[in-house]
Amino acid sequence: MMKKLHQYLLENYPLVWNMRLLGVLAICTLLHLVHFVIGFFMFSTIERMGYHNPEGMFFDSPFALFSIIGSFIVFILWLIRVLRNNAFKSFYPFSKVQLFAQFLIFFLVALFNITYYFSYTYGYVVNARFHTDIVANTKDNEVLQNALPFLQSKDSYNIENRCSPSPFPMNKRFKNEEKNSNDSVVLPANYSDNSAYYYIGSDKKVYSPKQLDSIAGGIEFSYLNYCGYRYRYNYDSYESQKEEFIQKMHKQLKVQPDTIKASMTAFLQVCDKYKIKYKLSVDDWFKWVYHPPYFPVTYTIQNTYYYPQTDAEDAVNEVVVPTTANSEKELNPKGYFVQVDRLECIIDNTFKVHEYHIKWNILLVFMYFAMAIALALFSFRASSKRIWLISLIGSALVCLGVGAITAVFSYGKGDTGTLILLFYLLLILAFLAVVLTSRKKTIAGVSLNWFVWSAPAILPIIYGMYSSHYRYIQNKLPAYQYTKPYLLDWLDNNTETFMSLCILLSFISMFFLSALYRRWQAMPED
Amino acid sequence: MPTAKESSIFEQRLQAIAYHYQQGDVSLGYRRLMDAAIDTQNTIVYNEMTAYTDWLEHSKKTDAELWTAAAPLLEKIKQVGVSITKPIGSDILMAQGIKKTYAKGFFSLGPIDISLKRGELVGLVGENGNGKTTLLRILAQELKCDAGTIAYHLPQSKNQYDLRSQLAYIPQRTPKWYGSLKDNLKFTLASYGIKGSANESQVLMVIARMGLWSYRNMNWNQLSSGYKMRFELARTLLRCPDILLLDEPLANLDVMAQQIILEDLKSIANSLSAPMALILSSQQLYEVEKVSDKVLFLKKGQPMWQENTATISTTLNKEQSLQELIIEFDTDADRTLLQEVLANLALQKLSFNGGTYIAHFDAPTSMPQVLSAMGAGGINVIYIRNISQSTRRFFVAS
Repeated sequence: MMKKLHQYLLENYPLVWNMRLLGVLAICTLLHLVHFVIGFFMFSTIERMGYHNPEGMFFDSPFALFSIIGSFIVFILWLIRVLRNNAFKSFYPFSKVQLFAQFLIFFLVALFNITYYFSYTYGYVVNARFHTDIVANTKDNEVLQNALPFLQSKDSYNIENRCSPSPFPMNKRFKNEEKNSNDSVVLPANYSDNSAYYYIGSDKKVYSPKQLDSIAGGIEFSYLNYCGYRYRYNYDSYESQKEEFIQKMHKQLKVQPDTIKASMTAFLQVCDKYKIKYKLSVDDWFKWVYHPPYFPVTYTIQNTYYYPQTDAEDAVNEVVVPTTANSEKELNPKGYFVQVDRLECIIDNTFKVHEYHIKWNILLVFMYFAMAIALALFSFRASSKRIWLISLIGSALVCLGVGAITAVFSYGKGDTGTLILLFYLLLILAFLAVVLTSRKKTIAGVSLNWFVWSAPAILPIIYGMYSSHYRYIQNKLPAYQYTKPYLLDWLDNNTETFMSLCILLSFISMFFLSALYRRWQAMPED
Repeated sequence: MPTAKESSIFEQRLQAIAYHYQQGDVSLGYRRLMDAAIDTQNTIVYNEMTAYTDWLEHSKKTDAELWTAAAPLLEKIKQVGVSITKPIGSDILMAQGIKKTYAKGFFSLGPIDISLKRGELVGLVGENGNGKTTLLRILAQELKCDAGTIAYHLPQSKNQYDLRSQLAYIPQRTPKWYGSLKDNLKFTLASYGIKGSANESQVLMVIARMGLWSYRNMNWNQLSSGYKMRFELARTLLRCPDILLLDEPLANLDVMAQQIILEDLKSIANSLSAPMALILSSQQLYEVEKVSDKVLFLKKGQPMWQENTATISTTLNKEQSLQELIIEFDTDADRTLLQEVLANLALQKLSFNGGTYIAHFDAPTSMPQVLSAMGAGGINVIYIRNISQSTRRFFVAS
């Protein structure tokens, strides 16, 4: 069967046969499968999800090293076979379309051979989905959300954090004597006490400590000042969701204290469910919190008492004496703690595994990496070993030279960033000019390799120049006179789309550059 | 469609094949039979020919058995007829004033004028370091010349790469082949657009033609130098280049292998279906001269042409060359005796180069006269050759 397929490809699709495409894809598929299986079995218990982000756990694990080595070995073994027969260098009929197809094959194999991360992660995710329930997780997240306002460190309850009701937040705190003269806020004449702190509210008015007393009862640290929210999904609706949540929390504190207690009880049940370590009594906790009408913060609960990295550490550190700093003792006399971070991690990661899909921006990074590999391999195959090595060593020297010039220029005044980028652009275009005009095969070949290697950077460099130039203009003009050009605004907000476009254009340009390799290969030597 | 002349040549070749078989020159007849089969460009004929090859390779056959099996095949070839893709004898290359000087100026080639026709075989001879490889590489477009023009009459080549696809240059040291030899040949042919079963048939046909049937499933490292060269030629044959340039293909080959390779090259160049111009460089003067249509001798980069019609041009004194008889011989006789015996034959010069004697005679001295005088003088001749028309005289008689 394999022999027949081998002969069929040899006789009918010599390029595919020569590139050993099916063989290498079969091996890569097998390795993807192995990664999937290993990833699948990396999931052990739901509690372990508190330690690793599923999207990053591949790189956290020592298996990543073996995977990279495996990928490298596949490349080497494949290249040994691929580089044996070269129809292009033997001057067999070889069109630019075939050359381009060869580049695409290099890219495809490179991409397939460096993306085991996805299979591993997907294997983990699939198993994790079997063991977790998204509906229950959503409920647990709600319970956590409701308990979090009472589990923060003291700083979270400072009046500066407050965001509800208006005129909060109090986002600027200063003494009169420290006030910035350029500030548009005008202090009332009677606020002359330089030693007192003043606040600027979201309504842009200045509030004296006296005025704040009437709002917050003169209490600096209060549960009513907490303004956190674990947002999920749409970032655009974050502010409205937070507003709604804070108002609900205030209402519960003021008129529905039983719901607060119920939230605390439910929270500890969730902790039990996920084997989250804690030392906390609902009654004490409620007593600490419930002090109407201003709900001052007297005591706090240590919310990340100990964060074990492994099960073994977890077992050894079953009971750990809390920190004994005097100030903390005062705030937490009973040494109460909850591993909230870990619970948050478990809940977040459960959401992540259920929502997991291959993200385009991550894939794009791998595509650029594959593109770099493909360019290196293609240029090696389409030029010659000697020319490629000269190009490689020469490029290191060019980079050193360019780096030195950049360093010198960067000390200059004016729009140096743009000028440096312009220099890079002109250098790349100079490579192309040499390719098109040089009659010396060696010089033309080295320049061609350099141009092909640097061509994908042309558009990002132009974008960089554009951005750098307008940043320079912006810095020179008063803020009110500066308007960002639409295109730059679009580019800044759509970097992913821009980079996708760049890689697409790189592929298109490679089609034409293939013709240049064909022209170069046919040049006689000097 | 073949012209009447081409059909006639084909008919004559078929008759010659039958004659070779009937005269007992089975090996020669068999090789010519395969050439004729290749000229048909017909897959069915190829398959029958390779089946015949496989049959004769498996056990020892008598000449009669071989002819009995070959006769129907010959008839089949006759019925199918020749398929002409490129006309023999058409101009293919015209180079004028080619010059090449190496940077340090220690060697300079040319100026050289050279023209080639399809089906023509040109021998390129000269001592080491006289520019043979340089000239071949210039003609193959591997190397740039400093001056002169080279015009290739290859209308199907639209650009430089296409042109180089039609020129095949085989260096003295052929690069190693990896993997199965047969697969390499199939890959070459598939790259030229011959796919599927036609690919298999044509590859086997060429393997048979180059006498590689028993070696087709071997690897490169298992082959001797001679067979490596044969496989390289098989690959080149599959490429059907318009111009084939071979650098020292006879180096490392034994005498018999040299003879067979040269004969094969001659028949490849003279193929009716796809004739090509062929230039080969070699130190084997006698063998090369025997098969070449013309020979170019390079001495310190300067050309000296010799046509197979024995006319000498360029830098040599033409008249002198035509009148002079130059004989190379080896003997254990004393030099004084030789001088005495040959004195009556207008001996102009007798020199000894350490291995052989070179004797120059003025016209109208002839070879039979020299032989007769030597016989009469009791000279024990070990080796003798008339090199008046051979480029060998440039090597040994300078």
